[in-house]
Amino acid sequence: MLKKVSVLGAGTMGAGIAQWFTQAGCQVQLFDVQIEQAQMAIEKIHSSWDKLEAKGKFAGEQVKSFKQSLTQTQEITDFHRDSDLVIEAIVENLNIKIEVFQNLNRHFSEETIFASNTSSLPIDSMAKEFGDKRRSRFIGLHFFNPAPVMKLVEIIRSHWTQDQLATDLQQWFSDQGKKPALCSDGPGFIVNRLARSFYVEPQRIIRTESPERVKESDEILREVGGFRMGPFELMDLIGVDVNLEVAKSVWKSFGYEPRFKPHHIQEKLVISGRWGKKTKGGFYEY
Amino acid sequence: MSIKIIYSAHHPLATKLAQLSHSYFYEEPMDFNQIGPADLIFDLTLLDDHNKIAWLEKLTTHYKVISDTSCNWGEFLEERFENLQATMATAFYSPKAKVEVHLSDSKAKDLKTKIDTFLANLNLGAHYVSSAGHGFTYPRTISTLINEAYFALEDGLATREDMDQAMSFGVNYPHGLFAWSIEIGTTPVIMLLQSLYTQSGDPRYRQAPLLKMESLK
Repeated sequence: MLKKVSVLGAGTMGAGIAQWFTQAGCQVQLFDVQIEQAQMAIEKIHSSWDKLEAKGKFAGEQVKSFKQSLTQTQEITDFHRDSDLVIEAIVENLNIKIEVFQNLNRHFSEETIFASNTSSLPIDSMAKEFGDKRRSRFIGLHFFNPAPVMKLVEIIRSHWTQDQLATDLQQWFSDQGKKPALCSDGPGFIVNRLARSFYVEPQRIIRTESPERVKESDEILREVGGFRMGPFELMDLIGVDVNLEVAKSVWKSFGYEPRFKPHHIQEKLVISGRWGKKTKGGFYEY
Repeated sequence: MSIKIIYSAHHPLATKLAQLSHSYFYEEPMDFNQIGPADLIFDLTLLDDHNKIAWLEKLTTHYKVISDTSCNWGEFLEERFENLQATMATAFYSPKAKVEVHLSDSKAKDLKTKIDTFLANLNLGAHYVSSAGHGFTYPRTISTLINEAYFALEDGLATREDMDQAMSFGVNYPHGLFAWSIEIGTTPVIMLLQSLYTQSGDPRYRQAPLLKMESLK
C-alpha cells in the first residue's frame, strides 16, 4: 500500500518516522527547512543502522538497502509528486502546519495521503482547509517516541477521511509489525486522553509535594499496579511543563471538564522552574 | 482462639475465601455467636460507606479487626474505630499480585506476620504503605483511568480493542484498561468512585454511565 513516503521535519519524531518507514521497505525522502538538520538526522539514522547491524538485528545487505532508500531533499518541490504518503512532524503550531500543507497540496498528486503526526491539534482543523478529494485522504498518524521502537501508531480519522483508507492503513501498519489503534478526532486522541488520570489522581492523593509521598506513590504504582514507571518519575522524564501543557490543552478542549483539571502541585512546580530531569529538579531532585 | 475471616458476596476473592477454613459469609444481621471467639478478624466485606461504618461499629465491638477498605475512606475509619488495627485493598486485582496494607500501629510486627500469612494463602503479597487514604493509591488511580476509558467509549472515540492496544503499546500499561476492568471487575471500581464522589462532592469522580450499567450485569 505504501511504497513512497515523504517526511517533513527532521527533528526527533520526523527522523524516527523516516527511519521506521525505511525499515518497513519504503522509499523515503526526508526534508527539513534547516538543511543541516536533515543531514544530521540522516547521519544519526545511518549510525543507528550500523549499530543494529553490529548487534545482528539487521543483515549487512539490509542496511545497505536502507541507506539507499532514505534520501534527503533540498526543497519541498523535490519530493516525488506521486508519493503514496506525505507526513509532517514539524512544530505544534496549527497555522504553520496549515501553511505547510497548503504548499504540499500544490505539489502532490491528489492520490497522495496527507498525514499529520500532531499529538494535540485536531485533524479536522487542518483537513477543513482543503477540497473534498484531499480531505478524504487526510489523516492523523501519531507515532510515539522513539518511533522505530514504540509499536503504537494512533490512526486518527478526520470528519472527512474515507473509512476504507483508515482501515487499509490500519491493516498495512499491522502487517509491518506496528500495533495501530484507530480512533476518531478527539482531544488527546486515545493515549493523551485516557492517561490523564495517571498523572493527576496521584497528585490528588498525596495532596502536598512531600518527597516521601512522591516516592511512595511511584513505588506503589510500580510494585502493585504493575506500571513500568510511577507518575512522578514519568512526569520528570517527559518534562513537568510539557505534561502540564498537554493537560491544559485536553482540559480546555473538553470545555474545562473537571475530570481533566490539572493539579495545583504541578502548576506550582512549573511556575518555580522545576520541570523535571532537564532542569535537574522536579518532583525529585537530580 | 484463632484468626477468622468474614467476606461478602461482592468481593472478587469470595470464591477463594469461601475455601479457607474459619471463613464466614457476611449477612445482616450477623450471628456473632456462630463466629465465636477470635484473636483477629479479617473483614473482607465490600460495602458502601454507610453500611461499612454500621458494620464496623458492630464488628469492632466484638473483635480486633483488619478490614478491606478498598472502596472506603480507610483513613477515616481507622481513626474512628480503635479496634481497627489495619486496613488493606484486596478487592483490586494487582498485576503484581500485591496488596496495599496500612497498619494503624506501624510497630505491630506480630500483626504484620499474620497479614503476610493470610495474604500468602490467597497467593498475594503485602505492600505496606504510610496511609490508607481514601481507597488507597492503586485502586483509586486505576479506577479513574478505567472510568475515563468508559467515557471515551461512550463518546465513540475508538473500540475497546483499539483503546486497549493504544494503552498497552503506547504507554506500556500491563493491560489495556478494558481488559484490566475485566480482571478487577466493575463492581469495586464503581463502589470506589461512588465513595469518592459522595464524600468529596467532586464531579471528577462521576461514574461513566456505561461503566455503571455494566456493573449491574
